[in-house]
Amino acid sequence: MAQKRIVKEYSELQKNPPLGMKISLPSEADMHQWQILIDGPKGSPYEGGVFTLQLSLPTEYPFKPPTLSFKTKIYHPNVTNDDKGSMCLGMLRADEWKPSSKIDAVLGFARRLLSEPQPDDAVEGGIAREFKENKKEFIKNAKAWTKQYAKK
Amino acid sequence: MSAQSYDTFILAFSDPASISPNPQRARIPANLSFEIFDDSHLRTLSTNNGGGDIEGLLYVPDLDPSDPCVNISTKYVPSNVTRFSDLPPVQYQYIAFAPWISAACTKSYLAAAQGNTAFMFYLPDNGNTTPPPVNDQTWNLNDGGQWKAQYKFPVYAIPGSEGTTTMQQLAQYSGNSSNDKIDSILSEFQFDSSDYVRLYTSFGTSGSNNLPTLWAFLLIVLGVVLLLIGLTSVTMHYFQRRHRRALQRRVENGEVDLETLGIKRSHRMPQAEIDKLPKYIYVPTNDTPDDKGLGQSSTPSSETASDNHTFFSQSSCTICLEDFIPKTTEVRSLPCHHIYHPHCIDPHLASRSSRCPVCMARVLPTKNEPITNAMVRAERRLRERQRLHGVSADGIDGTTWLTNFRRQLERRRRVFSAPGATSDTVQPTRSQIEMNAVAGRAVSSPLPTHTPTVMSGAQTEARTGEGRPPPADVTARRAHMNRRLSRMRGPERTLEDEEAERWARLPRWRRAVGTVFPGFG
Ligand SMILES: [Zn+2]
Ligand SMILES: [Zn+2]
Repeated sequence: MAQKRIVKEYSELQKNPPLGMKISLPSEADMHQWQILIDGPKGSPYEGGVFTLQLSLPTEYPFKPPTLSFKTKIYHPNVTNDDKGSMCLGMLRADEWKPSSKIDAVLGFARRLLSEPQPDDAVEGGIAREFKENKKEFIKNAKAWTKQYAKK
Repeated sequence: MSAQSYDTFILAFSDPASISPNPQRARIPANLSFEIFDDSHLRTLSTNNGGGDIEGLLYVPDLDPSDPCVNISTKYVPSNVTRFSDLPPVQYQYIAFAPWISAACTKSYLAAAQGNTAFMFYLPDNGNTTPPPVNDQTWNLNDGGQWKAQYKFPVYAIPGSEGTTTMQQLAQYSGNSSNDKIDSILSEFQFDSSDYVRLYTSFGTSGSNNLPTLWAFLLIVLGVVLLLIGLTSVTMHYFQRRHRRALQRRVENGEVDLETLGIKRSHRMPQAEIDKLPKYIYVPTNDTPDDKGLGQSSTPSSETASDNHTFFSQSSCTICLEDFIPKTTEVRSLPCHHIYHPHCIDPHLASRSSRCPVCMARVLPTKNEPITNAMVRAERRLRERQRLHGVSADGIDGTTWLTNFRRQLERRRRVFSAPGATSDTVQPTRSQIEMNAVAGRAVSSPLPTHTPTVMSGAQTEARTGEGRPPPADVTARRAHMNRRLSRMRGPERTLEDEEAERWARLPRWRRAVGTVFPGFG
C-alpha cells in the first residue's frame, strides 16, 4: 500500500510540481528517498539560494511521517546546524502526523518554514534567540550562509 | 576420596626386577580368570587421599605372629593368600585387603598395611548387601573415629560375599608358576614364566553412581527456584490485574478521566472491535455538496433509503489516495463518518491507533479501551505527582495559573499558524446517509450532533477553556485540575510511545524480567 501511494503522490507532484521546487529520485529503484530542490522564498533571507532537501518515507508511510532534512547548510532556528540538517516540528512530528496528510503538504510546510521560522519550536536555540531578539543580525547571518552554501 | 565403584580383576605383568626389553602388563579377561565389578554396593569408610587414581595390587597384610588375630583370621584368610612379599616391591601401588572381624583385628590389619594406596575390608557375614553406613556401630574401633585420621589412605568396605570370593581368588593367584592357572595365563599371553599374575583393584571415584544424585539435587534446587519464580510471577500478574480492574472501575464510574490525564491518547483496537465497525458499498453523493455539511442535510427525511448503499461525499481513501468506485468499493465507516478501504484502515486501527487518521476522533468509546499495566503505572505516577506538588482543587495559585494561561495562548497561536494542521483536512459533508450496513448490522442513530472537525491535541486543549479561572463547582473543578495535571506531564506524547521507548531502551534480560514480573521496577 505504501509503495502504491508513494508512486501516486510522486507522479502527481511531477505533473504539478509545487512552486519553486524540483523533485527527483536519486535512485529510481528506491521510491522511499526523494530529493527536493527548493528555491529560497522571495522576501526571505534565503532568497536567491537553492536548498537541497532529502525526504525519506518510512516503510510504515503513510502511518508514520516522512522525515525531511536539509542537505544544504542553512541558518534557520528549526533546522539542526549539523551535517544531518534535520527538522522535526509541526506535522512532521510523529504525534501530530496524520496518515491523510500528503507529501505535497509536507513540502508546502517546509517552504513556509523558510519564510516564517518558528522560533518557539526551535532546535537551534541560539539562532532562535537571535531571530526573536535581533532580527537584523539573524537576517544578515542567514543571507551570508545562503550566499556561501546555497548558491545556484 | 569417596568411591562409588570398584573393579577387581586379574593382571599379568612383567617382573619389574627382570631386565626384560619390553615390560608388559595385560588385563586378563574375566572369562579366562576372574573379575568383580560392583558400582552399587561399595561403602567408603574413610576418604583420606591426596588425589589421583586409587588402584593397585591386592594383598593381605601380614599380622605379627603373636597377634591373636592371626588365629581368628585363619577362618577367613587362606594361608596361601597373596601377601605383600608376593608382589613386586617397586613400580606398583598396593591395596590392602582383609576381613573386618573385630575392632582389635581391624586395628592390627590397618597397622600392618604396607606402602598403601587404600584398604579394602569386607564384613564376612554381610552377604551381598551394601555394608552399613559409615556412622554405624559396626565400624567403631573404640577410638572415637581417630583411626580415620591416623591412616592416611582411604578405607572402603565391600559386601561379604564379594569379599569372600576375592579372598579365595587372592589365594589362587599368589604364587609363581607352580600354579597351573597362572602358568596357562602366562603362556597364553606370552609372558615370561617368572612374571606375575595377581589381583588388581581399581576404585571408581567419579563413578557414574554419584552423578545421578548430584543431578537430582541440582534438579530439585532448580525446580524449587522455578516454582518460586512462577509463584511470584503469578502473584504479580494477579495484583497487576486487580489494579487494572480497579482503574477500569474508576474509569467506568467517572472518577478518573484518563483522557484528560493524558494517559491514553492513542490506542490499538482489538480486531473484534474493528469488525464491529460498519461496512458499506460506496455510493457518491449525487446532489450538490451541501456547504453546511451534515447539520442540515442528514436529517432522516432527506435520506434516500436503499438497502446496502451509502452515500458519501468523500470520494477517495485518504490512506491509499485511491478513488472509491461507485457501487463497487466496500468502505469501512468510522463513527466520525470518515470512510476508508477496510484493507487500509483495519491495520491502522489494529496496530497503530484507534483514532481516525483524518480527524483524530477516537473510534473506540473510552470505556471500552483496555486498561494496560502501563496505564495503571502512569495513573499512579500522576496521582503521586499530584500529591507531591500539593495540587488540589483548592490549591491553585495565581502564578502557575497565569503561566499556564500564557503557555496556552502561545500554543494556540502556534497551532493556528502551523500550516498543514488544517490544509489536509477532508471533511465528510455527508449529504445523504443510509445506514444499512452491508453486514446487516443495525446501526444506531447516524445523526451526528455536530460537524466533525479537525482537532489536534493542542486545539482540544485550547478549547477546554483553560484561559478561564478555575470553575466553582466541584466536578468542573476536578476536570480543570485534571487538565492542569495533564499539562504538568510535559510534551504531548502518547503513553504507548513512551512505553515502547522505555521498553526498547531496556536490555533483553530486563524485558524478560518485566514480562515475568509485571510491575517490577
Ligand atoms: Zn484505501
Ligand atoms: Zn474521522
